[in-house]
Amino acid sequence: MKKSIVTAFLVFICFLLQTSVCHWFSFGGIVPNLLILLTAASGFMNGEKAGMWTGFACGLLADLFSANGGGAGNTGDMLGFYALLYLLIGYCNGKCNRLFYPEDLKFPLLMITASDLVFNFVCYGVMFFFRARLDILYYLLHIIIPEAVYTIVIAFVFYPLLLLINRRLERSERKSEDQIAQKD
Amino acid sequence: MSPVIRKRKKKFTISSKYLLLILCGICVALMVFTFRTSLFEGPFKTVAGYVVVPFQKGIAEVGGYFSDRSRELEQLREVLAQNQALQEQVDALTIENNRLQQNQYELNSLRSLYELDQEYSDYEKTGARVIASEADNWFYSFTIDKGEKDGVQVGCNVMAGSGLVGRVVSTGPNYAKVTAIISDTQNVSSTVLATSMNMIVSGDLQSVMSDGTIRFEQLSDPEDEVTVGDKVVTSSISDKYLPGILIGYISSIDTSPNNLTKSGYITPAVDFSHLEEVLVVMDLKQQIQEE
Repeated sequence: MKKSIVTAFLVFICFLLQTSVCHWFSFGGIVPNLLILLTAASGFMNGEKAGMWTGFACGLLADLFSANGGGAGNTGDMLGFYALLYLLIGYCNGKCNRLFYPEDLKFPLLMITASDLVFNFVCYGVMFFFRARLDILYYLLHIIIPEAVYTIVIAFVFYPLLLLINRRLERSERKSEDQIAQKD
Repeated sequence: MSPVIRKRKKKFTISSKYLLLILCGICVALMVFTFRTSLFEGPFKTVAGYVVVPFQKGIAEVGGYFSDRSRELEQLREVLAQNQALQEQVDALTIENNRLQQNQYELNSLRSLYELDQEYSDYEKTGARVIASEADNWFYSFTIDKGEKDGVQVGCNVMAGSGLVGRVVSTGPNYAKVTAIISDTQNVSSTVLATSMNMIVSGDLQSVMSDGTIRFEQLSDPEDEVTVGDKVVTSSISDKYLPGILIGYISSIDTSPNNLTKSGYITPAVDFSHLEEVLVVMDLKQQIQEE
């Protein structure tokens, strides 16, 4: 319960940072993707369900404030595209929950990079490739890879923070479980 | 403990596979329903308007303060250097001004032809602050802090300075989403001011990222009258944009592969990377035509 409230709060904070703060720190027009970072981290730290819910919430917020309706053109109000994408990414990360150890830094960073790359590839495929913007190499070199690199750089700072929050929560959860066990 | 109480502790859980299916189903259903209808708009917009937007406004305000201060410091240094350069320019401009006054007559006749100055001042505008941008790197759109309560409607044109920024595509109670003309999916019907030839200006992520320009197409110019540097404004036949708003200046022209029309690139009049305040034109295109 505590965990889901904190996660919801984190989603909210990340979304605010993503839309209002990140663009002050954009490099060549590229901003890091904190929502993917959070979704992926929540997935491999807490399992499929947590990943799914986090992804769903992140995606829905992104949908609400995106004016492009998943590339559909003029309809500014199409919801669900980003929600579905983030949801699936959260689920896939959750599937890798068993490989995750808090001491290991390589695996989480790898998962975050992979998630970001997949996310942007799908975005490109659905919203650009289908509209005959075929120069995939350009988009790869100028958007997809820079964003992944920037996200990784941010992840070095951001991910330990998430890990810390997660550990605290787990500890307090365990404590309350112990108390219940003792009462029994 | 009795087994009855223990049973109550067991939480209701569903397998993650089913949860995935259910949530995916919800997403797909949302996409289908919201693509053309406005079924769920109300509640979502209210939540967005009263939960997220106030925070974004706060952050934008704080950010605006800091960017103002840092800009002041930067400007101080720049101003000293500029002062000298400007002094030299004043001399050069005085000479040029004399020459330009001779062109005044021609300019006046052109103005009356396009009624540009009159139309610009006729539009009722309201200022708005940009409070949030798109959550990804693929499109150029942003959220402003004026919404339905301030009279902003879907379709309102948005300007910054004297140039066209884009149009409102969705409104909430206290916010509105604006898509920029440089966004990849956007097309604007426009006119080259020098020859009054119509053409289509379309946003293009690739050229925006590499050199800050947007594409134009279908310019019919058999006499080669259009040159680099010509002004491009919104055309009167556009159904979404008011006529005569400056889009930008032509930066390169090529002959299209069909050998009939020309295409090329336009440098927008607005600096899209530093948008903080915009002007929302309250008149809609249709209303003006009715008058």
